[in-house]
Amino acid sequence: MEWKSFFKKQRKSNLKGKLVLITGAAQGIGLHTASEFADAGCNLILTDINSEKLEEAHQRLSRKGVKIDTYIVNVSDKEAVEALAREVIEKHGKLDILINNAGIGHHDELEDTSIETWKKLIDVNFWGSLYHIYAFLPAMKEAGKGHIVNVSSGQAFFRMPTWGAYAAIKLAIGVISEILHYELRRYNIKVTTVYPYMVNTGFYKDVETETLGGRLSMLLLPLYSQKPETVARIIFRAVAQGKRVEMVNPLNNVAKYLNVFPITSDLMNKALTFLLSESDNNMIEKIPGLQMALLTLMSLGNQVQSAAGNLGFKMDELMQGEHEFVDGFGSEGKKRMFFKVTWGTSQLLDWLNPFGDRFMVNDLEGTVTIDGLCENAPCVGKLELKYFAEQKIRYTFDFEAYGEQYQFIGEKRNIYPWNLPYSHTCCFGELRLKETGELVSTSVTHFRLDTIPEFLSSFQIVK
Amino acid sequence: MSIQQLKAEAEANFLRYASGQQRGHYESYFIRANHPTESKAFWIRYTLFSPNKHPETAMGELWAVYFDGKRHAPIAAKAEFPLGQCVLNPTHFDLQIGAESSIDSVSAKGSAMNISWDLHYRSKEKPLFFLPLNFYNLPFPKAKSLVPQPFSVFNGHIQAGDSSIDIKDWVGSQNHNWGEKHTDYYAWGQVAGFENAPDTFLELISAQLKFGPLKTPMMTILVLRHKGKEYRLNNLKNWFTAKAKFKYFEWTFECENKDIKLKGRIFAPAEAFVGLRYPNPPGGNKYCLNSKIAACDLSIEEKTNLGIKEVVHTNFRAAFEILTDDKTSHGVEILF
Repeated sequence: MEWKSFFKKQRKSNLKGKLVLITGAAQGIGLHTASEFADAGCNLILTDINSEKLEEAHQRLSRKGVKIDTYIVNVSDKEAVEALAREVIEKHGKLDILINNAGIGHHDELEDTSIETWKKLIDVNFWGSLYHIYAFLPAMKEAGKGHIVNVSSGQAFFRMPTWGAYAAIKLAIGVISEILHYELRRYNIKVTTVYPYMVNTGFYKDVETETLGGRLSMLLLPLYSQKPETVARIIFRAVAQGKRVEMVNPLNNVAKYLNVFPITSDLMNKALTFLLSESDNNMIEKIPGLQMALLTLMSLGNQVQSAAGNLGFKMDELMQGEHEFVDGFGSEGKKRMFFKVTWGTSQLLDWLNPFGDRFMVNDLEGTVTIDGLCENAPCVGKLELKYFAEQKIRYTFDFEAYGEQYQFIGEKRNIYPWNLPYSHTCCFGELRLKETGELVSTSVTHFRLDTIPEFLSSFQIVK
Repeated sequence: MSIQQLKAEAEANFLRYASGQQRGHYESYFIRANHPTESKAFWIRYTLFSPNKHPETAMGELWAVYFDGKRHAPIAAKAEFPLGQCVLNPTHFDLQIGAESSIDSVSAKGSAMNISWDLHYRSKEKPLFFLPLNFYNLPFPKAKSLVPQPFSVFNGHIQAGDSSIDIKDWVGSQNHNWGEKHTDYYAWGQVAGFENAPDTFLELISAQLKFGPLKTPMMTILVLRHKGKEYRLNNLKNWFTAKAKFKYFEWTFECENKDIKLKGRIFAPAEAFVGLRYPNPPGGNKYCLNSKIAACDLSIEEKTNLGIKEVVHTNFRAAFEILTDDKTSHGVEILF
């Protein structure tokens, strides 16, 4: 009797060998996006205005074994961008993917935003992208293929008070990009428009705000923001799938559709104005006790954040059962398998953040015994508690045996309240060669109910 | 397929016995198979036995019987080992009894008295659950059984007395049963392939339970795999609506549900039986009259298939056991 394979083969990207240019690649989303494409075997051209950071990025990414060229470019300098395009096309003869990521932020009420600030924002966030599109489009048309990615912002949908100038320009670039998608189809050039939600980078670090709502939103930023690596992964996937629009975060969809209806749009904007606008903030001060209550809340929040920032937990778990080699990898019949692991997190806030990529994701390490292959081999990986998104718990860990790297992925499935005794205690696993993905063995391991006391007593808070 | 079913299948062969448990327990893994064309069969049973409140006297047992329809008496053997000489794995089917006898999911080897065996087997079938799944986790019935590997194909060698038997593609099953006491009175049958329906698998039991001086009516449950479908006549209604009666050594039964109607007979001459004494965990003994070369006729009427009726039969491929308190009147000598 053979256990059925429960796992679909992972989608492999076909981007290997593509030449990708990323602006603003020295840090944040740009750097992580470069890392994703490097992992996929793409060769990179990275540009940024910050030479020091760009060199750091080059050094970090060069370990991934792909070709990387770096250029110090001010994206708002039309001639510099055109010179870059000439050099790139001359050297490589093509550009497969252009990612217009470079951008600057601004946060102030419109009446306090100077014309110079507007010009600077337009130069970088608007013209910067357009200069690149115009500079590289001819080569893409000539090649008969290409892919342009424009990074807009979720602010295009939220249109929050104090973000007016930034949102307006990002909305403009979003509109242009979405239209461009259809206009360039006839040249076999894809255009993807990306709307990142608030990203937890240095972008928001220096935002100064005097309003209570503003301070509150900055305080809670780790809870509702996304990490740049998460956004980068989403951008990469959007490019690999050739998506037209990538909304990145469901909250962007919420804001987008709230804006469709006049009533909801009005309510949302009034609420945001109340919280974020300085003039409305004065109203808060006039309401007896409200300011005190909000300040107390923020103080508590600050304390929780500083306390929980380095807080975590860990638990020990033993899963035991049987595995069976597929033909050609070992003797037939079911054999013993168990893994004893410690899993948990050292970053409780990230673990609790439903919008982050570490939401209920635990680090895992321990040992695995697979009869016929290894005994107490050290293993490292992660345990994802995907109760809400997929009704699954997924164990992923790597280990080495006889000089080969293996990856185990095991899933507890169909986790619903009515079948917890079955679904929560039974893990269906596949063991594959890490390098080739070839299936080596299938398994079912079990969490035995008589180990519950040991499991629960292993819980530890870690700092 | 539900997670409950998948989990139950994965744990089908897991040991239910916990070393040192006070509650009485027996647990057996047995394999059996028939010669493809002749009236020959083997039955080998690996058993853990722990008397109620006396776990210190728990032991491992090996039972083996070789049946040959041309001979008058089956060759039987039994060996006992203290539990300390057994290796148990709670979450992996790999049981060792004594120093040299073991069974796992694909092989069995060992010896007891004048019978030795070295066998490999494979099954491509899913486990067959004789009881509704929930019943395996309930205290009632006190005896549980299932077939983790139906239609196992066996190869290897058996030495029974002075007979040397090469086992080549004998078809049977690997079975697992356990409980805190044996069912009071029952007939159990199993056929892994009929002569004219080699892909049909039948398992059934007719049992009577005792509650003090009271006896339940004869209850019969049956599971049939036939033409790619599994018919489970094992819910509570089936227990009491099926008609069955057995005597030495004939068993007739009739049962039906909305999909199928079955009528059958399992029978064998007394010479085809071996008598074995099974100690009962609460105390006392039960006597098992055991044949693996019985005949079976089964009429199958699939109600959903235009009411087409067919009769499948085997002359010597049926397992037929009767468990009774009666030691003598059946005329079969109790060997151990």
